[in-house]
Amino acid sequence: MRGHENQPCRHMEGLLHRAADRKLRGFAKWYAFAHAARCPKCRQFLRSIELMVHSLRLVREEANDTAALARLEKVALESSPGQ
Amino acid sequence: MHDANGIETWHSRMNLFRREAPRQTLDFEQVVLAELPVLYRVAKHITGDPSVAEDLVAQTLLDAGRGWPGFDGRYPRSWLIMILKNNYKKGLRHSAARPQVEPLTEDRFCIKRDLVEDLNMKAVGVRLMEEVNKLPEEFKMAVVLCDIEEMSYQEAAHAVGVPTGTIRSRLYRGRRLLRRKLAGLVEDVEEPRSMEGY
Repeated sequence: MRGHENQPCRHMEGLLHRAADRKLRGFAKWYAFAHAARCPKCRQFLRSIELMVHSLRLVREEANDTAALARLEKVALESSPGQ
Repeated sequence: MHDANGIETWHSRMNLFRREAPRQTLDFEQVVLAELPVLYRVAKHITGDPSVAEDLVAQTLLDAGRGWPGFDGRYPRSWLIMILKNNYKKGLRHSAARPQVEPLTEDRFCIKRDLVEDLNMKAVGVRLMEEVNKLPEEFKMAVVLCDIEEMSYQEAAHAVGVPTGTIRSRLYRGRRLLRRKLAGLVEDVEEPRSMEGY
């Protein structure tokens, strides 16, 4: 475990990010989750990354403004190469 | 292609390795209309101002219309975001000469919020969005494309015009900064889905 508080083990950080993104396969996947299951800081790190990404996606749709999108649709149709 | 002596020329050998671009069968309007919400959201994150974002997307659409005949049809979302990013940088260069007035924000007065009250996912998301917008430009782009817009590392790298490893590293560093700023907010909530079964 790394000395700093709330930091994952140094060699695990990249693997845990990829595990949170579901990009790991085979042995790397097994190793990442097996390590996280035994190491509280890595487990907490993986959990926080997953929750962070999940929360961001939850509020994503609210960032759209329908009036602006309607205006931009018009621009899109006008800028079509076929016009 | 062979020369007079029947020896394969350098040019013909190189052509073997050149990947042919897929035929362009996409419809401009269909592609652009489907990607509009993503473009607008990304523009809002980059500029931090809805009206500037709208102008930026409009300019992007005009440029995309002009560049459409030369587009090879691969990664349309990345292609549009690349145009958007280039337009934004162009705009920044033009505005660099003008004096900038920094808007007053809550942060300047260091108002402390009670984060404990925000402990539900949506509130966390809203707070996170604010922090994402304060990230350094390159990290923000990686987080917006990969985490918010759910683009793959490859697509995001294509959009930003950097290698896949670079986008991964920027994403991880951006997440690290976010996590540091929001320490305690996104932790100790519940057991992650990925740990099930272990």
